[in-house]
Amino acid sequence: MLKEQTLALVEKNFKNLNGLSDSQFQKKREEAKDLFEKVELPTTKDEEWKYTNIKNIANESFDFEAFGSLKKGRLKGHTIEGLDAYYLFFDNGKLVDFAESLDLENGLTLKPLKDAIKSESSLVDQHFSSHLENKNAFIAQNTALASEGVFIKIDKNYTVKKPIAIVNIISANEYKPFFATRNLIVAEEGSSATLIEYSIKVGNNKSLQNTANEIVISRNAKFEHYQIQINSESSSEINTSHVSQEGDSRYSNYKVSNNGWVVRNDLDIDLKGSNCETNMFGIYKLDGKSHVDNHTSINHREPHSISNQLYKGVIDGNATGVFNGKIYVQQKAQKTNAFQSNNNLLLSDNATINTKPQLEIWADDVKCTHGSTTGAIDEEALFYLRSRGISLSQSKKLLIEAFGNEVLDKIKIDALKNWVVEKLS
Amino acid sequence: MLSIKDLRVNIEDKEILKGISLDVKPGEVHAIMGPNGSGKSTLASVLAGRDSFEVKSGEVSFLEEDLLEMAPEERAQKGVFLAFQYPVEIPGVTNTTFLRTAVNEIRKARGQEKLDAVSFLKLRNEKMKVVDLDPELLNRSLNEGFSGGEKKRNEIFQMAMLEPKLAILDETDSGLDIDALKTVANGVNSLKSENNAFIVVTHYQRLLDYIVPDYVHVLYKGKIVKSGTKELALELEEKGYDWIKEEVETIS
Repeated sequence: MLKEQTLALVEKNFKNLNGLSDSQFQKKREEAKDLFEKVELPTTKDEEWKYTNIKNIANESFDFEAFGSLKKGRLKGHTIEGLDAYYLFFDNGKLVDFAESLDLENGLTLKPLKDAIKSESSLVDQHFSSHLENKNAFIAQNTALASEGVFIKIDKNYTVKKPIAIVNIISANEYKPFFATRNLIVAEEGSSATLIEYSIKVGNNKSLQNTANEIVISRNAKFEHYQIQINSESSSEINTSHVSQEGDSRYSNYKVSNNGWVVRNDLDIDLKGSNCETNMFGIYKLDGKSHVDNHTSINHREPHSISNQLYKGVIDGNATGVFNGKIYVQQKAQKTNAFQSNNNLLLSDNATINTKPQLEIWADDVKCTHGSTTGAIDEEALFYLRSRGISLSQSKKLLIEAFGNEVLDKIKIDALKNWVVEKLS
Repeated sequence: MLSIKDLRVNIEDKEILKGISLDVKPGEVHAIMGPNGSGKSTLASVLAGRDSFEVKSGEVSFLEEDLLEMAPEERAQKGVFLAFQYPVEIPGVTNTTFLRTAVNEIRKARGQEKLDAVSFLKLRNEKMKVVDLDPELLNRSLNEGFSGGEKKRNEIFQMAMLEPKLAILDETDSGLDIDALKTVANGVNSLKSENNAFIVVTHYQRLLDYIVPDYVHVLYKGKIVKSGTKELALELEEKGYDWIKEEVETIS
């Protein structure tokens, strides 16, 4: 179902090109469409999708272009208390009320991707779909459907004063929405910015979002990227973020996943220059029948870069977590420092984690460590807390929070951290 | 206050405590001494409710209630406190958060109002002085990276905060230098009253120079083989445990 519906929408979009037909952007979309037509959606026979079965999603009949159910005045209710940001709201994948409330800084360009195709055509043509490969059917789908989404550019040496917040509101009362959004982000040399993405689900119908970010970080730029996925068991989500880092740049990704029907995240980081720093912090807290799969990869191509990854999972009920973290260190990338750690707390007998670190190292003078732990709550610690009068349930809560705090404490924005902690508790 | 009658306890299939009886009244300090492996720490843990032990038979009543029926937190709420031999490190929970949760859970169980932030801090700052606790330790994760002495001080500080009726000190002197030992002992002494009681479990006599017991019991191979007053502790210090062992072997 997903395939047929997608192709029908792509056809419709391609009939309405308004002078784009000769653009590089359109060429990339057509390539992606051809590919999407040819390849099958991934199955569990595919090594990269071994533990994540998307059959039920693929067979579901979703509502495409299910826009318009969101009341204008209600948008404010979806902001985060105390978080002053440039908010961009999407209603089932369509950008709504854009620019009405935004008073942008001079060094920041923030506009719908479909406008940028014309007004920023050289940058869009240069970068769109040239970093993020269509390596699976979902990415090809996203590229072929690319239209809704934002284009962000931060000018050379400019530091953006407020975070940019992209809010995906999933209205699933009357619809079973499917949508795809594509963001293209270009941080020019020496610039600095923070992006926060989060979703809010309204209604209990099933939903699927396919979101992709293509992020280009130029020399000496700094980019902070928060991805907060607060889902219910009816929400499914495929998120792909591709980050391309030039030398001396810094990128930090903070990923919070709470539940979800089927959630699959791919975070691919390409370290093209030397002396880069990359941080990947993740926490997934799952219950019920939730399924969350985090795939990450980092490719050290040049010397002297540091990558640091800490992913932690708290899994209860019948939920399943998947962690697959790849680190590549190319022959040229001497003096690489790469750290990876994945720790899981299983709270029930039926909770599952599939964790797989993968290191491929061709350089000889590097420091790489990785480790993975999976266990239950520490009985000694539990007894210690209880022996001080703290109830069993409260003691467990304290220990679970303590386990997660190592990741949550990395969140640098207090208002965001408070909001996340509240959502997770 | 505490009455133990013929308590027998196993770990897996091995009998560790082989019929212990002990009565503790308010205002009393009891020392339990004995060589390594005699079951001292097992007794302390069983009283606090650690469930890795199996109680085979016997009774323990605390303030006329069946202690063995209670969960560890209920025992604490009723007024039992165990100062751990090896306090557990809990990364991610700050000392202050932990204490505040404990104080308020106990207050709740006793039908008292929660302490507000100001009253809690006031109480905390007052009780810190009891063991001369480094204020920096309060904002750190519970026991994480604390030195041996800091951990033991922190145990006595918790005791001061929770004001138990029966405090069991499990080898609180181990790993302490003489200055820290004095500080900890002075802290304990300042908390002594007519209404509470102490069981001091120790291998050595030196702690008992500072916390003076009313009764001394010698535990050997899971049984109390000798009871006496503080002079018994001095005798043990002088002669070691061998004569006790010999006495026991001769009788049996």
